[in-house]
Amino acid sequence: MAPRFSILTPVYETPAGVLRKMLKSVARQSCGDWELCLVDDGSRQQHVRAILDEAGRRDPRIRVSYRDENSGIVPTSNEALAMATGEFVALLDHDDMLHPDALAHVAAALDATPEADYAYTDEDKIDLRGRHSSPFFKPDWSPERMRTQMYTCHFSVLRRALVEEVGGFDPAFEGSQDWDLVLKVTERARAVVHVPRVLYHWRMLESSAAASGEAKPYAAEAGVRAVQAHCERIGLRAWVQLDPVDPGILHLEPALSDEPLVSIVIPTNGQRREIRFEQAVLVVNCVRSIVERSTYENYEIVCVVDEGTDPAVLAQLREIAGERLRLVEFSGPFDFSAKINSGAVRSAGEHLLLLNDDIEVTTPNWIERMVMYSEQEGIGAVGGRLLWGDTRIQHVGVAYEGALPHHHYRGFSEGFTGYANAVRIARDCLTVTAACVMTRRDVFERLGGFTSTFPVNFNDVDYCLKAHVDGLRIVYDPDLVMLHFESSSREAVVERWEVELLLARWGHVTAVDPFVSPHTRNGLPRLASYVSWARRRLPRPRSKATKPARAATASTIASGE
Amino acid sequence: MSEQATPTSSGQRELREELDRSQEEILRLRDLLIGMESELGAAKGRLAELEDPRVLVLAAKQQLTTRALGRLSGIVVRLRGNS
Repeated sequence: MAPRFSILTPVYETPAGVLRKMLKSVARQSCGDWELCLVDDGSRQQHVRAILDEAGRRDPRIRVSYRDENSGIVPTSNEALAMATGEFVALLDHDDMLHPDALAHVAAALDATPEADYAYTDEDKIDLRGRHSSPFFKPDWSPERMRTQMYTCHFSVLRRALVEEVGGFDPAFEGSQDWDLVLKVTERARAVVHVPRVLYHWRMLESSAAASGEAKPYAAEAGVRAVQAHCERIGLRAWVQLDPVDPGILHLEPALSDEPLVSIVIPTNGQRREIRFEQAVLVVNCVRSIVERSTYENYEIVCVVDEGTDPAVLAQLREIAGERLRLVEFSGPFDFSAKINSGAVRSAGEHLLLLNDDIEVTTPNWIERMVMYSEQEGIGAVGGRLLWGDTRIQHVGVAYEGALPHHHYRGFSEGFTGYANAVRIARDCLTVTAACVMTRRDVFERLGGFTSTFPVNFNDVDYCLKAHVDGLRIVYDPDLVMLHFESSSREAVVERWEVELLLARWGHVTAVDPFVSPHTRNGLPRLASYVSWARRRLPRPRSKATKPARAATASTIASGE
Repeated sequence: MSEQATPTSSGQRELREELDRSQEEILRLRDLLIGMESELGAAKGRLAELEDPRVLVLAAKQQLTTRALGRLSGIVVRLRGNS
């Protein structure tokens, strides 16, 4: 009977010590329903064949094949795939290690979600001396994040039938063949599951990508091509570019061939505030920045102005925006949602761009960027990175902790990259702020627009959660950077009834934020999770009296002594 | 204050305004429905939890444990007082 898991491991010139450790980590799995498909890619070092032969003799579940000549990771991986008989294939590198319960936990997760075609786990890094570091506590499945960062990486377990259906490992993407494979599989997957446990230990060798993202420049370049091909397959009109600093990050640049009409809806009462040490009318500053800096042509500006707004302000707006401007008068008590809805129904755009009047445009192709995401069928709303006037972070997507919304990294410096580059990569989240958000008109109408149940606070939260339960995704775009002249020293006043109503309405949805790892808090690893991980990983101190400490060296471990 | 897209007649303008108000009302009703559905779903879930016998047993267990611990601590305090 075929095993459930076929572990695919291409081998090439692996140091004896780490090869033995890899084999031992598989042999010690608490779940025994596996086979290990090892393919040696023409190693010249004698110990490789000796160790593999010995492993194959010891355990019939270990199957070994040898290639006469070194042909690269892709043909070798495909040969391992051809040997596989299991329902799922699991990818394990020749110098890495699995946690003893890795397969058991993955099996349990797959049992809980039988339609899952792809499963991945958290991971950490391990050096030659066996010291663990850099645990990566991941979010649940985020297709948007996968396009800018190969975050699922290790430990990846894929349904074999689907892997074969997409043609296995593609030689066109050598170095990032696993990224390409996961993208292809997840394009067709019925469900993806995440096991939030560190079950894979990625070995840091000098030549390994775990030690440095710059170790394999060809891999980064192949990653760009893999994601570009993926964008073309799914109809995402984007150019993929490599980050100039971090080769582990990609950026999507809009590649629109046409410009659908965008209605920018700005509720305002003509308020003044200090901007760069001078008093300014916020909406005038906002509209001027839109008109002067935007590269997108086909847009209209719908300003929803309170009754009694200074006519001089309106005259200034007309002067700046000209034909693009549409003024909608709003009377009645303050109701942000009603103002948004009023502007939306009196606009004509295919996409609605809801904007606070205290925003200033700094990214010229901001509308193109938002349209690139917003036009995707599965996306309900897209927002960007908002910085206060002093360029500290105000908003990089909203996360839920204790079922209530939080702004991670609020007040951190502009250059802060976030945990696992969370600030610098595109990703899914449950909510983005309505200070700057784009949504398609058909989605807005289907969801009943903004709710007057929350006239002041949480109306954006409510809107995004309505979209989420409707099966739509909310996207944070890191490359859409705007200034938000919201007071950084003043917290918005939130009434108790607003919190209670939010919990009554959405508490069952926000109790667990799928895009926040249970091991993080405020966007950073929780101390308890980190300590718990470290206690399990760090070598235990030995008593000098009974066992003299022996400083392990890289060479002794590498040689397997 | 007038909108820039000026209707050709006041009748058309009124009609347009009526249409916009109807659109707003449709949005409001749709939102109300979605919100009510969500609140109803959450309430049903809570009810199902409360009706689950395991939850009742757990709650009773918790109550008994709390009472027992309270009594025990009372006894300990009295014993300490006596000694």
